[in-house]
Amino acid sequence: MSITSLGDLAQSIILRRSSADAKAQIQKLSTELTTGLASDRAAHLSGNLTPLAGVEASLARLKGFHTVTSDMGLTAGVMQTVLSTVHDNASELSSRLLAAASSFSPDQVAAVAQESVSRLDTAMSALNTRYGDRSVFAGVAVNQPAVISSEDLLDLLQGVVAGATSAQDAEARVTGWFNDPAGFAVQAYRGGRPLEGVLVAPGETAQLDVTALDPEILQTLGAIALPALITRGLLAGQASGQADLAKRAGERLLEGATGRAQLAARLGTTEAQLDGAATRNAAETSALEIARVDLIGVDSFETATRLEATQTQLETLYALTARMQRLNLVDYL
Amino acid sequence: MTISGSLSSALSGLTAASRAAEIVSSNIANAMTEGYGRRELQLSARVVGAGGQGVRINGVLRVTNPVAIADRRLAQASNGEKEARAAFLRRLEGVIGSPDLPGSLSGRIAALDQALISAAARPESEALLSQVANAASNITSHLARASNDIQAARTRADDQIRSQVGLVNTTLARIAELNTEIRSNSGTGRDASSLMDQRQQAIDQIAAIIPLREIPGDGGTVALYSSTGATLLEGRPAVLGFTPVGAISAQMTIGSGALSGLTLNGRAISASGENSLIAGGSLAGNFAVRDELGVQAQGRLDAVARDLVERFQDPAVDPTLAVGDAGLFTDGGLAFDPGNETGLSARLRMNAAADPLQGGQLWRLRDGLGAAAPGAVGDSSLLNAMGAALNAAREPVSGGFMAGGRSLSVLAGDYVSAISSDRLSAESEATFALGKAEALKTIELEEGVDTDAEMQKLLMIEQSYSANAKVIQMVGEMIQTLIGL
Repeated sequence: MSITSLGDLAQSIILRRSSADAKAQIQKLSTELTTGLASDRAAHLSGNLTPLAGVEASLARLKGFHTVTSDMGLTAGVMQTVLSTVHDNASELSSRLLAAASSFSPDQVAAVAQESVSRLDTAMSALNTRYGDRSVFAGVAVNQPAVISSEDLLDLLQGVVAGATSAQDAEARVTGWFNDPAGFAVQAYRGGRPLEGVLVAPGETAQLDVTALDPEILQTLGAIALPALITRGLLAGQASGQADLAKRAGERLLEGATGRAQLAARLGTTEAQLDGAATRNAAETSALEIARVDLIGVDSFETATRLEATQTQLETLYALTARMQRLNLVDYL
Repeated sequence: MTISGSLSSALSGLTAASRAAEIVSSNIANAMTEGYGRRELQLSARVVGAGGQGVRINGVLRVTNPVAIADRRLAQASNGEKEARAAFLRRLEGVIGSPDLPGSLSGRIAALDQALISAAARPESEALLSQVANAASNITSHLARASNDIQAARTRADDQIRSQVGLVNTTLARIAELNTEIRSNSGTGRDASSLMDQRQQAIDQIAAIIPLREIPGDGGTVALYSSTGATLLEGRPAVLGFTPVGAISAQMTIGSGALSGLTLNGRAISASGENSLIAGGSLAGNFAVRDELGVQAQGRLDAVARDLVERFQDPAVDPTLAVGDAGLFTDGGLAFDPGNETGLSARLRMNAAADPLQGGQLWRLRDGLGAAAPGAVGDSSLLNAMGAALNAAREPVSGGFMAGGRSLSVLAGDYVSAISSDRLSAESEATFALGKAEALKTIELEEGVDTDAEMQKLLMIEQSYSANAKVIQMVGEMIQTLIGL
């Protein structure tokens, strides 16, 4: 091709297009440099956004699990505190009861009976503990207290043991009432069925299913309430019978210690599970965040280098445009 | 040779020089005009009797590169078509959203998932339940927005077709008129170059709409055919016919007869497909958006909406629902009817029983949509079941998705992936066509006005003019000498 002339517009269109390209490139690169992410995700992933969607969905779920595990962990901690309050009251009371029973002193028995009233109150208020406006021992009825007040419980029990002739009889009646599905469970328990399991990690469920209806708690409550009934006139005037009652209650509380420890251990297992889940979730979150950056992140060093190169290109283009404008025959004529 | 012969020669030289100067000035004035064909003066030696006498102006040549122009027009048309497709897909992709953005469809589904997980741990919390309700209604509004956007794009394409058909018709008529004028000008020997410039600009206007082939005819006229063989201008201009509709809804397709096709001189022609008589330009691109891409995108979006609805409509998820009851997501408040899937995404509503904005009660999210009264406030079984339903591997029933079960968020990811990869391939084809068009445009413009060359010519013209003038002066002196004898 012999060139005798070259149209002015041909030159300017090339310069115009090159500078527009370079500017678009600079805009893209500077966005990528500031965000650290590819500006066109789809192009970066060759159109396959499904893995990214998977990563994002998992991250969102893990975020949900994070609040769940920390909330449940705190709830379980509160429940442990309550259990240990109940346990401490029970074990302290049991030694008092046994000491009073062996002293053969009606005054001491009366004193320990009075003490068991307040211990019962402490234990039952502890069972009604609310955490974050949620009654922790009431099962699904989280908006209600788990049990009635100790005063009301003693009123009920007073009816149960009315006419009891011996300590053994009274003990049998109280135990029977606590174990009767129509007894404590209906008349004194205000909560619902145990809470359902909740997802705490992908595919893993944790359940805080301890309620005030657990047999270990019932056994303990029954044994604390028994001597307290003395203040309501149980076996009045039978000093040996009352001492026997204190002895039986003290022994029952001692026996229950194993059960209470097992209950605490069961809760402890759930706590450990929650801790484990939280750790695994945190590890998975950081792994997924790394995967996310692998998917849509850009190498900042490479981007910076390319930005520098494009900038140089644009500057060259400007210099060239100015130079070519001056290369004009008209200016020399 | 006579003295008067010399005088006549010199005069012809003067005329030629001034005509050449006129052409140079016209070229320079139009150095920035696109579509302007550079003019060159054609000269030859004048012959009078047996001998030469002076210079003769044969005419004005309009310099163009017809091959480059034809190729550039085809590339422009191809770019027009691919760009129409890419623009639709790019917009739709933006509305659906990249999965890493919280406001994307996948992000909204993930938000519902997260809200269900949190609410299951504390089902008594009003705040967490209302988070679930918000997340659910965000999904419905997102799908509705995407559906409306698709239909708006189809409506815009319909309107574009109307204006393009109008433009093609008026431009073809103008080209026919210009053809007539050029023929009469060239017949009488006048310069028709500027008319040809106008005609080239007019053809360029419609070349991006329908890919054209230009065949030169007698007397400087041209005939125009579409590259797939439709006669657009052969003496008389063809007339395209099209009836626009005001607004398009999901149910309206060309198959249902609700949308207009294209006619050529009153005969219906196919507007889509490889063999369409208008294939390959932005007009075909708009038809593709209206009848192919838009319909397909809507169909798949409805399939995603259907999957969402059916996941929650199952009585196994919510035991308070009877078979045939509407679940958490409804078709405009009613249960979903598989026979009425088209346009579902636009009609999707959250169940009013559980939506506080529609007078419903939040506790129904926990106790069941059919529950008459609130149940135990700590019951998380339904929330657990809904979370499981959302993540269950379920095979989409419609929409032409690949077989295999997947969770809803993966389905949404698949949906946007398909759009993205179509967009990327349309974009790369459009970029290729654009690059080709620009390269050809550069070649075309290289034949255009070069001011340096024109200035050089002007220098020569100046020289020749003064030389001819000098000759006249000398001849005049010679005649004076004769008279003074």
